[in-house]
Amino acid sequence: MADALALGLVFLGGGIGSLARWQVGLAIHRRYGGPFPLGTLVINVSGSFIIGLLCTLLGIGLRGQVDDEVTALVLTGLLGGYTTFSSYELETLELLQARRRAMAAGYWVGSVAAGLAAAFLGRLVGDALALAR
Amino acid sequence: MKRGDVLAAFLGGGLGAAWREVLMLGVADLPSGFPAAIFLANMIAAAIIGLAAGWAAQGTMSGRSRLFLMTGICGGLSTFSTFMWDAEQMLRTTDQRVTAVVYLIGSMVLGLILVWLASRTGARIAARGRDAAT
Repeated sequence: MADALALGLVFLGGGIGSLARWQVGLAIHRRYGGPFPLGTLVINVSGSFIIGLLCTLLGIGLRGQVDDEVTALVLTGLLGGYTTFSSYELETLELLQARRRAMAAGYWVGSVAAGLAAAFLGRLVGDALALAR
Repeated sequence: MKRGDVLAAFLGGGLGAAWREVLMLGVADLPSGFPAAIFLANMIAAAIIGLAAGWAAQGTMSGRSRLFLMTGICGGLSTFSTFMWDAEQMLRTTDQRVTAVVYLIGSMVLGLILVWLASRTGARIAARGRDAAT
């Protein structure tokens, strides 16, 4: 596939994924107004579960082909745009600057621990679904 | 939802993700299997969001610029899902386990340092701009 088409699909997916992240973040913030960055945590953990599930179902292993349409639109675009590393680090810094050190540490380490567990779980569910098919 | 805000988040996110794709096409993994392209994307995004946040705290940044730059470009350029999936896959590969740990902790620590340094720089640039204007 031409790189231009892949780039277009990534752009489209990334744009939609970012809109979804913005709206999900707002919706969570409206229900839970506390200092903990719950929105980003929910987004990043759910995105990690979905990528584990989809990559397993699609049979994509370690850093699969970047020139595939589904990979470009859904994995690189939608999920990459939906999840965020930059806000995760910024929110950790902001908690540290607000002297909420325990919360910052919990969020910083907890996001990665929960994300890894979610990706692992997504893979297990994907394997089970693939077997059932 | 204002139409301009939707457009700002969409365009920023699309551009950021396309930037990440360009890095993925152009930057190869290290021989150890270290995912250099995603690491680079996440570190650049951490630096930009730090600059923007420092600037926004000192000067003025409209909500729409924030949506375009921080929610859009930085959120689209950076990724948590691929970060986690690559790490999960590497942790399951015996000879890549050490690289996985370096990748995980390296990303966490360097990303935090970059966002901190960049936010100080952003605040300093904004303060200088404000002083020059008065």
